[in-house]
Amino acid sequence: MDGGRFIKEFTKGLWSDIPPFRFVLGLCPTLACTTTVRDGFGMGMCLTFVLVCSNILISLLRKVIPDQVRIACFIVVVATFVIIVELTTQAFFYPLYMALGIFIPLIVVNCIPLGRAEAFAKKNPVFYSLADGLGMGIGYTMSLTSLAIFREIFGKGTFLYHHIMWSGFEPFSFLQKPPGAFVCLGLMLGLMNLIGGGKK
Amino acid sequence: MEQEVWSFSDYLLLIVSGVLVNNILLIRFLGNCPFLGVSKRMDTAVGMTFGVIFVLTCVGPITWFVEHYLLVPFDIVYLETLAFILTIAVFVQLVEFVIKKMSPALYRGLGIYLPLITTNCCILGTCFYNIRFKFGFIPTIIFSFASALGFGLALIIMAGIRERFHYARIPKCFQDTSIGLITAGLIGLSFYAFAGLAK
Amino acid sequence: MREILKLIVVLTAFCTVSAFSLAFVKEATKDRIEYQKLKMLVAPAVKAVFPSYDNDPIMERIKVKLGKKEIVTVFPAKRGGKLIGIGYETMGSGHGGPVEVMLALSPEGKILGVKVVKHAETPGIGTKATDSEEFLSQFKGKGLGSKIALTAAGGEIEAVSGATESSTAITEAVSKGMELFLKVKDQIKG
Repeated sequence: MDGGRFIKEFTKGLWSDIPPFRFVLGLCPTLACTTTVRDGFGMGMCLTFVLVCSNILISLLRKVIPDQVRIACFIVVVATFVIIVELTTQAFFYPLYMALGIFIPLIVVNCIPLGRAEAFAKKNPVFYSLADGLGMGIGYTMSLTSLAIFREIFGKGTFLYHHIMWSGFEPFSFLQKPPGAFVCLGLMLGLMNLIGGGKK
Repeated sequence: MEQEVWSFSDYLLLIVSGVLVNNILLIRFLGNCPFLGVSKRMDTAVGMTFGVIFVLTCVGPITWFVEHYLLVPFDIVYLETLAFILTIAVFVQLVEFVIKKMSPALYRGLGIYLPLITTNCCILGTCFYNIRFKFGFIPTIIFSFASALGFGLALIIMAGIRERFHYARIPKCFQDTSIGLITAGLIGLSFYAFAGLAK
Repeated sequence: MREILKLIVVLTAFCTVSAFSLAFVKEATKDRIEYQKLKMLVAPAVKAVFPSYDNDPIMERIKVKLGKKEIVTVFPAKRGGKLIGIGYETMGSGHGGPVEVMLALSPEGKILGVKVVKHAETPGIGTKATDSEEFLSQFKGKGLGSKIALTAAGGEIEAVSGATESSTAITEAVSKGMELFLKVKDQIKG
């Protein structure tokens, strides 16, 4: 158990390999679920839960899963955790469940859990797979939340549904609509490339 | 969109809605991952389009059957996610197998997109929409086809534009994905011109 | 041959474990999900039909079985731990389809309040009855002995002019609800 390596696998998901900016994966929820901070954060948390659980389980079972049917097994594992998340949000966070709609079940085809299973969890021990999942998940949540903060404050004038802008403020509702989501994400990505000094 | 009897104009409106007004990719946000990956060149875009149209038009009705004849009667609708994705994965696997055997040429052109299509959110997403909108069997087929058509339309428009990017001077930090997203947003904005044609 | 067998066994094992764990989670969350769905659908109606109460009628809902297949969900309202009323939904047939009504009765069988939960009446015409506080408050105070019907049918409820069908539907729903009361009350402990 190498603590240093754990840190390394964990932190790469937070900046250098952060989804969806550096690893262009999981774009659909990034665009669809970031109209408000609550939705962006909620979606990120759901995905993090699925990612961490599936990474751990697949890593634990990596010696048992035959190679020919590995994709099918990954899908069953990820889908199971997705349904658990679906039922749990329905039971305890109903308004969030109604807001996220079909995007919660769509986590199953989100490239992040399946991608990490294929690229990392099936080859690495549990300890590091946990770090990888946690790092990527938290990184993804941070990305979604920051995009959502921008879109909610300027697109709606609220933050977590509380009005925080001055009363004469005309919300830039373009940001709340689909085209605005694309443009916003594109600009943010460009900005990140500028700060990060180019992509890999 | 729950209706008892569908007339021809209803179907027409459904197609217009699926392709233009509520374009599955630019408005409903489904299918973005392959969108950005495959739209750099026209030939890959066209290949993916055909693949999606074929798979989605077949899988939409198949998952409709699974829902209404398997999940609902046994009261296991909460397993919808699992049942649908497995159906799609199995279908795509079978199709890949058949194409490989029957036409190696077609496989070379189309086959490589098939695994990508399994994890394409627009396939699973459209299957979910078919259920959420409570479509009957025929509307399901039409809506699945229309959604795939919309996906292809957005993809091909995007590929056409992106091929031109070779000749444009784009700042380094915006190249590739970033400018792709901004362009997608602007294309989506133009689709807003269709809003109000259908719900 | 062994290869294929191994594949089948592994896949089956995965699916079985998955199915069992999902069934378990589903059972564990069933109640809570129903609560959330009901809260979204009927919470405003429940709030409107009772006078002040201090419990959570939706959380404390009771399912009462009437006859072979019918189950009625009853929402008890309490104040200081004492039951002050019970509410449940009934249905009447209106102009555009079924009209669902939330009916609240005191433990002695007197109507505490009536509120329309769902309907398909024509906006601006039928809604003159379904949305009218004045019309709905006519039911308050009526007990098991009174005849719940429109004045045209020999009762005491005045229909809203221009919205006779909707008024009839609501009255029908309340009247049916009154008939259920004794059966329902039997199965609930005070």
